[in-house]
Amino acid sequence: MKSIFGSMALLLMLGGCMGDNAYDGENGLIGTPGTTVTLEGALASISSEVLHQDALALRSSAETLGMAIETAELSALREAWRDMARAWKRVEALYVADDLSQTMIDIPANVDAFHIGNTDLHAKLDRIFAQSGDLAIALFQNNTKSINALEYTLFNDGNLTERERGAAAVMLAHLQSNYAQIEQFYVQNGLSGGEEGVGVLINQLIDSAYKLKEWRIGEAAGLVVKYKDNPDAAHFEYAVSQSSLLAMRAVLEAHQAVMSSGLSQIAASASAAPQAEAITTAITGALSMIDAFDAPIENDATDTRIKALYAQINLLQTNYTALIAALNYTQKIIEADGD
Amino acid sequence: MTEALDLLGLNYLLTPQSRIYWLYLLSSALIAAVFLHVRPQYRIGVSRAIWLHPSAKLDYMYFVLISLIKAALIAPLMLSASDVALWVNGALGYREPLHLGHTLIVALYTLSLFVVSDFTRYWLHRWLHSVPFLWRLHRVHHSAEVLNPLTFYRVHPIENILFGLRYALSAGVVTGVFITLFGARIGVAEFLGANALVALFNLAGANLRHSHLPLRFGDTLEHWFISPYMHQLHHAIGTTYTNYGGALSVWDRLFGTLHVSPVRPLEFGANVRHDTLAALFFEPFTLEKKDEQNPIIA
Ligand SMILES: [Zn+2]
Ligand SMILES: [Zn+2]
Repeated sequence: MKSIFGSMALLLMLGGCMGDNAYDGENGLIGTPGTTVTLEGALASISSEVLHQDALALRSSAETLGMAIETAELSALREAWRDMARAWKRVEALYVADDLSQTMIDIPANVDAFHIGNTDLHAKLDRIFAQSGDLAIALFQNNTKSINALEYTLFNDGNLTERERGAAAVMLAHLQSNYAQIEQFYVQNGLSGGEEGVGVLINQLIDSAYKLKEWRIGEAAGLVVKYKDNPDAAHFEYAVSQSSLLAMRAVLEAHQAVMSSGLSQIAASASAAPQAEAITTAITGALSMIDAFDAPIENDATDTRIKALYAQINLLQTNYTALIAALNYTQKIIEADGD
Repeated sequence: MTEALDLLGLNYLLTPQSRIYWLYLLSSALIAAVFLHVRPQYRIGVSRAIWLHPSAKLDYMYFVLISLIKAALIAPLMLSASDVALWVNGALGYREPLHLGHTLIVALYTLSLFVVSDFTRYWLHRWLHSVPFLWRLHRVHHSAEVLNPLTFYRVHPIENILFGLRYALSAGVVTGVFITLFGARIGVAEFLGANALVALFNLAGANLRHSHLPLRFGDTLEHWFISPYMHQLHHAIGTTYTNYGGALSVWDRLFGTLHVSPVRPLEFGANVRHDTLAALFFEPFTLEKKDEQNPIIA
């Protein structure tokens, strides 16, 4: 009997491999045969039109700021910093490089001190500005060269001393070297690998939506356990420059760009168009809620509209999870048989 | 056109997730051919007497009707595994996904779906025998006096609903947990377009479970897997309270219901006769004199 089984198994393996749905480890997520090309194409277009373009825009925004630091008025520097912050939030929201390569893991923490390394940052910078030693040595810690440190330097008070201007240059040089690595990485690498690439991308989007909701909105508004009923505008991401709404908008616009440049298409090819549609609608809804603020969000952390925005981003996060479940194979079967 | 096929149940032949997908039928036919070549004494098992037995004819008619009921009434209302998965994921909350290799995640998820589903299948099946009212429903399946692949579908619609809920809950919980752990990087290893393990189970002669060919896997394999003959023992008068398992015999072994035995002649059926379609649907609800319980257990 066992020999019967051995030969049968062999025969059937051969037969199975001829099927167009044979598992190749690539397109298991997308059930329909023949969509591999579209899937890879969509991932490639997200990589080139969004990830790479955003990295280029970040570099150029830093160059503009660099020129302004040389000579320009404080107001021009501030405007240039805002543009760079906007560009950085886009790149950060879609930062898949750390999933694609070990070497890229530390970069976001080098650039951004929000929520990880900003304890006493302001006091630390005040001390450095009051001293007179070499700035490159004084600003040896990464968080003192972060985009948040630069924000404090440009927005802490109404004027920019020569020492602060010098510090800004040191900080920007540090940021630029990190930006250059990101850009270089996206020139050479992008999302690929079918199902795995889609998985990496959606995981990043969910992570970004979660952090937007919890860190960038919930903590300042006192909506999360850690700061329950303890709203404090100083916890907004860019409280010093009152640019937090701008940052939220940039994150959502990055999500929107990913959806329109390929992810909606990927979802549609896997019969998950309604889930993609729900995501797009949630993003648009959140963007118009942000537009409805006519003053900086930092003015009133108890504004009831913040709670509504928090709920809207929560919906966005849930919708991404619904997309995973829809892309997944289980829902397409209703195994209602007996035995 | 496809909808018409759906309604007649013919789409099952083209669906790799279904037991009677054409390739699974073909593999079972090939296994049967080899088996009969080696053991010609069982040719009676594929004779006209079996295929055209009144019980078999009832299976064929019932299959068409129950397919229609499932497509029109049960499937549209059935709780979906992805709804359960979303609920579980929401309850567990967000955490940063674990970094495991994709191949490993796919292997773990595929295996978990298969094992958890097989486990819940065992228990639901066991309850269908031990709970008196459920046994009256499940008797619809066991009243078959001869077995053929379509007997698999000779299941009361309420039992279909129970199996559907069981599937949605098992696959939903597994998927919800895996999404929480790994986010969107989960995936199922597929073979022929179905869960690879389900496909392998079906290719290994699953359609012979409901047949008169006593195919065994051998003692060693039957320690782990339910062979067609083991399911036939489950259908046989006298040993119905054993071998509740689907693909794995592990549950029967763990919970004391495993029955492995050399091949002997079996008589199939239950303590009730269902001769008409109406009887299959409505007999479970009619009043009965005394034997409401499985007499074998009672
Ligand atoms: Zn059976
Ligand atoms: Zn049974």
